[in-house]
This record gives sequence, C-alpha cells and structure tokens, in this order.
Amino acid sequence: MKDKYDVVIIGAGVSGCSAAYYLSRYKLKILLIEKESDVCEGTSKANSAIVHAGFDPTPGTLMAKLNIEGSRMMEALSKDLDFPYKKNGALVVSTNKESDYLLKELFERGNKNGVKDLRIVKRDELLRMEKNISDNATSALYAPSSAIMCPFSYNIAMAEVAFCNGVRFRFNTRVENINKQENGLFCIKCNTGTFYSSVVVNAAGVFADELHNMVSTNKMTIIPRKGEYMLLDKTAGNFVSHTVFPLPSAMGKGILVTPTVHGNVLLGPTAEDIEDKNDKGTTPEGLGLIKEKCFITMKNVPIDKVITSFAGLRAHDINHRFTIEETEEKGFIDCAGIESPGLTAAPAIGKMVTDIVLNRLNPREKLHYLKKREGIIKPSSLSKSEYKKLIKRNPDYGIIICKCNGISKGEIVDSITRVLGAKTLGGVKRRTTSLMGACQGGFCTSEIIKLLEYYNNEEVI
Amino acid sequence: MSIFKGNVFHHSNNRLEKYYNLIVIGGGPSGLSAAISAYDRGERSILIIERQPVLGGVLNSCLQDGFGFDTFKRSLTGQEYVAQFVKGIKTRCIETALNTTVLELSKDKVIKTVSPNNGIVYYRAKAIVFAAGSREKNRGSLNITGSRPDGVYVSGVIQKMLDDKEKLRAGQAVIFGSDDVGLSLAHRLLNDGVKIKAVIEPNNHLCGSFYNKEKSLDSYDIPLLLSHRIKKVLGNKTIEGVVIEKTDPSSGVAEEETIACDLLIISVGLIPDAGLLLSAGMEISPLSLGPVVNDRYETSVPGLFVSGNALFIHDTADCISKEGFIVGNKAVQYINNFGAQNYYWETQISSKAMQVEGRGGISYAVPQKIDINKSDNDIMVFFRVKEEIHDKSVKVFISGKEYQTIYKKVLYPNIVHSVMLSKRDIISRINGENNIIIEV
Repeated sequence: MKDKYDVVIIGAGVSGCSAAYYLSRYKLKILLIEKESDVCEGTSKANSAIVHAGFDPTPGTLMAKLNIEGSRMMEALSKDLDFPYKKNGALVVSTNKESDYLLKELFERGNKNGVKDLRIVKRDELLRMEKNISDNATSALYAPSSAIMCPFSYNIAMAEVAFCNGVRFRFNTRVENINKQENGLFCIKCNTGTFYSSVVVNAAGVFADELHNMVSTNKMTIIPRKGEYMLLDKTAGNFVSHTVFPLPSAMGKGILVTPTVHGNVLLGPTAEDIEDKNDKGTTPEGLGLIKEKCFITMKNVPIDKVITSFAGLRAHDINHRFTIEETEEKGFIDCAGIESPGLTAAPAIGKMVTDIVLNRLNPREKLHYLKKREGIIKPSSLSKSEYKKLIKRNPDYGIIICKCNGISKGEIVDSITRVLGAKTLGGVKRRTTSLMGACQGGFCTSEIIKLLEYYNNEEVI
Repeated sequence: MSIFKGNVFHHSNNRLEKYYNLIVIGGGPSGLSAAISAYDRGERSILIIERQPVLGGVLNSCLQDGFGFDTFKRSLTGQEYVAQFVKGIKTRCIETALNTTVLELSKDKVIKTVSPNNGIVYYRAKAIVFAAGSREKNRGSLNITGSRPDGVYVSGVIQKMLDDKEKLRAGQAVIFGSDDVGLSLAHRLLNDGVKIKAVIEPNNHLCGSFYNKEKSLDSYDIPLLLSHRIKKVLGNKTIEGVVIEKTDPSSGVAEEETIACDLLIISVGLIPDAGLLLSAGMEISPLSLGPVVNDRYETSVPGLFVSGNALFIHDTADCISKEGFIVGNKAVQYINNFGAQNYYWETQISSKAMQVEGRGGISYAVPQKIDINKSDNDIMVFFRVKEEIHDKSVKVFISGKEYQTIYKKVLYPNIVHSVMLSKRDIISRINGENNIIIEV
C-alpha cells in the first residue's frame, strides 16, 4: 500500500523532528505530517531558546532526566548539525536577603539532578559578571553549563537530515481522525489524504491531547500557556552576557533577560494559561508586564531598542509532566506536555521516542545514514580568501539583501532551494535571520518575496 | 600602519584599501547633492557608494508628485526629482560604486564593503559623508499587539512590490498613516481594484498634502480617521482585520472598532538608519534617533559628516538636497584644511563645544553641539515640536540668558522648524554655562 508507513510522526517541531532525526537511522518507512506549511511553526519557533542547565526540574522526574541529557548532548549536536550555540552561563538572581535561601534550594536540586559546576555568587562577583545587574540583587546561582541556541536552525537541521535519510514530509496536512483498525494498523485521516501506520508518534504540541484522545480512553488534557516576548535590537547586545533569571515561581521560570545567539537581547516570557489554542497574539498587558518585570533583575534595560514582540504557546499537562510513552493502544506513542525544558530535552526526547519505536518494531539499523549537515553558508564566517572565492563562484553572495543583518542573496536563495526549503517569508527568516533586524523587513521584504515567487513558482502576495 | 601607493593603501595585514579624499555613502538626493557640491568646489577624488544597482534611493519608488517646489520651482514626482541629481552626477563623471553594500564603518574612516563583482573591498577616505537615509517605523516600534500574520507591510515594501508586479492579490486594505506616501499608495491600489477600507492617522491632522487627500481619498469616499491608531492585528496565517482605537486621551475610555482587511500598510513615519554609525562607536541621540553632530554636520569623528534623513527626519526632499549641498561644502573645507595650522586657531573662548538642547514642547534639535571657534557666522538650528502648538513663542537662551523670542502662530509637528543664531551674538554671551536652549 503506498500510503502505508512503519512510523507516522505528527508534528514537525523539535520533538517530532528529533524523533525523525534518530529514527531515520533505521530501516523504517517514516512519514512526518505537519499541519502548517513548514517545519518549526509551533512552540519551537516562539520560545526562549535556552539550553537549560537543569537545576529547575524536580529531581527524579522524567523532565529532570531528559533536561540533563539534552543539555549534555546539545553542544556536540550544534557542531554536527551546524546551528548556532553558545555556552554563556545563567544566573538566577535573588533580590532580597530573605530569598537567598531559595537559591540554595535550586543549588541542591541542581546537584541532585547532576548539573555540573553550580555555585552561588555574592553581589560583588555578580556585579563583575553583569555590570547592569539590579541594585537590589543580593546574590545569584551561577550555572556555567547553561547555553543559548537557535531553535529554528536546530529544528530545521534535524528535519533536513531526516529528509535526506528518507523520511517523507507532508505539510499543510492536518489530522482529522485516528483509529486503530482490525489489522493492527492506525488509520490516520487527514485533510489531504489518509495514511496507515504501524506506529504513530504524537508530537502535536498544544494539540497533542486531541490526537491522544482519539485513540486512548485515558483522557489527556493539554493546557496552552501563552508566553509573550520582546526582542531588542542588536545595538543593545552588550547590555547583558549571561541568561539572567529571577527566582522561579509557581508559574514557571519567570521573565528572563538574555542575549540571543544572533546578538539581540530577549525579554520574557510571560505565563498565562489560555483556552484558545490558536491565540498567539501579544497583548498590551503582557508587554507591559515584561517592561515592568525585566527591571527586577537588571537595571538600565534598553527598552527603547525594542524591534519586535511575539508570543508562543507552551503545551503543559495539568501535572506538568512530560508524557513520552505508549498509550494502552500499543503503537501510539505520546510525546506530549513538552513545555520548558522541552527545547533542551529535545535530543533526549528524540532518542527516547526512538527507543520505544525500536522496541515495538525491531527494525534493522541502516548501514549508511547521515548524522550531520552543513547549514547555509555564512559569508561573514569565511576567511577573506574563501569569501573572495565564494563570490567569484557565485556573485549572489556579494549582493546584500538584508541590510540590517548583512544577509546575502546567495544565502536567501540557498534557504529557498535547499531540501525542505522555505516557502514563506517566515521560512526564509528562520533559515537565514533576514527579516529579523531593526527594519523588520522594511528594506528586504520585496526582494525576498520576488525570490520566493521565482524559485517556488507560486505567488506570495 | 598603512603605506600610500598612488590611490591604494596597502595595509600592514595585507589588506588593500582604495583611497579617496571624499566618500559619500548613499546615492539618494542627500548624498548626490553632497557629491555635486564637493565637485563644484573643486574636489575631484570623490566616490559614491550605493547598495542598489542604480542611484536615487527611495525616491525612485515615489511616483506621486509634489517634489521640487523649492529647488526646481515646479512639482515633480519623486522619480523625476532625484533624476535631476543623478544627471548632475553623470555630467560631472563622478565615480560611483553601485551594488556595493557597506558592511562596516570604522572610526579611522575605513569602510568595509561587499559587492557581487568585487567581493570584499575596503575604502579609506579623508572625509566621509554618511547619507544612507532612513528606515520606516514598523509594527515593532508602534506597540501594535495581536497576532503576526502575513499581510502587514510598511509602505516601502508595497511600493517596491507595485514597481515590480503592479498588481497585488489583496482585496481590501487598511492604511495606517496619512502621509503622502500612504495616500499615493491608496491611489495606486485603488487603480488595481483593491478596496481601501480606511486610512488611519494617529495625529489629529492630515500628514500629507490636501491635494493628495482629494485625489486619493475624497474622490473615492474613503474615510480618513484622524486621532486613531491601530491597536491590534487579527488573523492567523494572513491578516483578517485590525482593531483601531482613538488616540485622543480627552475622550476618556478608548472606543474600539474592528475593520476587516487582508492587507495592512504601515506608513507612519521614518527613523534615521544610523546602525552603521552606532556600531562604529558614534553617539546616537535618543531624541532625534540620529547621530550627534556639531554645526558643521560632523560627528565626534573629525571628517565624518552626516547628512539627510540619516541625521534626522526632514520634511521635504528640497531641504534634504539643500543640506546635502552644505555638507558637501563642509567636507571639502575639512579636506582642504586638513593638517593646516590655521584650522585650529584658539581664542580665549572655551574650546569645548556648546550643547544645544530643546526643552518644553520641542522633541529634538539638531545640531546638538556647536563648535563656536570654527563655526560659520550664521548657525542654523533645526527642531521639531512634539505636537501642534498655537500662539506660543519660541525662546532661545544662550548660556542661560534670553537671546531671542520669536512668536509663532502655529507650530506643526510634521514640519521641521528652524532658528538662526549669530556667531557674534553667541560669543558675546558665553559665560560659564556652555549651552544653548531652545524652548517652546
């Protein structure tokens, strides 16, 4: 049957693509279904982009285990998959003496979880580490292993490798119903067709409960938690160098102030449980809260350098647990409730899902498969002579389209024409960082639309 | 260490730098005027660096007329206006580097560029006129909340799209901003069968010309909603509508209204595009959002001049070209006096620059510093007001003492105003306080 697969993965975020990345090393016929037009369109594109050190999750939980594992795997992956990653360290800042003991609790929790090199720093050292730390900061927990990364590049890189290893992708494909047939196969009815599979991986983010509940009688509830963010221009880049957290609360890690791997400063997220799973809008209240709370840990925050704001939804189940296991209906594997530290845990989540699939299907490993990929060539990272050769070979690398970030036509064309290439402005943005600068596309949008329409042969506007 | 060989420097780390006396960054009316002015004063070692394949800048996309009343005594389209200056460059055979983007600018006036034909090229100049223009205020800086669907673009993007394909797929558009660009886009889109639901204007007055309003809005019964702003964008993948609210605080609770649309064009204003200067370490004013300069349009780096919208947002292209001519002149003066003893003559007056400050209803004043020792006899200070002001006087204080009081019946925020200061008067009034205050 041509629409019969060994594994169908639903959701092309970091969880689904991580599963696809590892599963593609086995002799399995794999299909990845995604309701949007591109990979990385859900939570994976709107998060804090932090590789958490692992002092936050409760020891002994799956969350804690996968956080630590993922955090340890990420640096090597960043080299294999060629995505930006920087170990800049994190500081959890206490702003009054009474709360200092909470830092000690996090310290102990971190040690129990296996986080290395944690220590408490007092104010004078803290001031040396961050000159703009709040005047009220008393001490902080310093986690040197915390890092920042580019979640888009990571997500896209895994998808590209999976694709090259034979995973099929279907976009704009939304699951309408799943049921298990008598012959043991899952029948997955979508708006664009019906697929059959021995195993289903439910990595559908905020919609994971809806898919789970089609198949299992133990009902799951996923609550979307909206997080709003503000992004500051690169000219604010020197303002902070570590990822600075306030003390955590019941609603999560709090509003952080962090440099991004692209040189910006990110403020946020807020945390508001909402009902509408399609509501990714920013609000004046949310942005107002960010503007207020970022001054708890830092002073002189250059709020006037905001270039954009956005919101993302994190999927959490009521008990704030990761659910990565088969349901009572064997072969249906949930990968649900992946809230923070979901991005950090993604490498480990992918491996865990793969192990469950291997256990179910027992496939043979392929003799040849890809593990690495080369990202889009960044001319700015080349030596002078290499850059000269590149431009001689392809003058498009000498035409700058994104003025703000210095992105060349060559990179943009690459992002459109490579495997799983961009089909939308957002797709080009996340693959190249064009459209993300101070002008927010004011100068380059028309050029990029022209290229998209030329290479994809379909109208964008 | 750099060794000068003809017009090429061989830098010690094996880098070639092409040398010119004057390099103009930006081939719009500002830069072109500066280059023409420098040429007409005898300078011949000039290069214009332009990142587009042609000279002209954003005016190449401005098909509405109303340009050139001062300079040419007629009303031209933006395209026709800038074409005059491009002709001026061609007839003088001034050298240009097109398709060349500046990647970095350094304090020792070395410019790193890239182009498809030549790759990375370094230039070194005795004087630089930075005239790279402005960028548009976009959604991010306007506090528009809500979702981020496709279909929200600043006016420049739509202008360029219309230049290339002339027809957009949109059915109904909302335009945020009533300046001439916004109004002229309304007209162009109407001709393509796009319905314009409304033009939303945050100020309590029209920003563009009445002529354009008549042509684009009145003849088609398109509502112009003054004192309104876009609060929120609606829609998932593509825009479905906007929520607007009144900006007038006196009306109490802000009433909201939803307008359905599949295209939102933002045309509310410009910001100096001074990123390269900031990265080079120059001070940027948080008021004008452009670089801090002295009365010679010079930044803190001697010989690095800024002109046009890259300095502060001007109100007419004529003013920009006029300024470009002046700055070109200043650049040549700098080049000719470079190293000359008499350029740095001292007097008993404090040689520290005077600070210029706008107070009260003034949003910013340019230049922010006056080097009174080296200034011209007449110094023009430009300023903008925060909102419409009626029946007030503009007061100028030199070193704390009232110097000028100019009665103004009305001061509009969308016009650049100016006061003229006399060097002699300033020198005679200087005391310990080294500042000039303009207040409304």
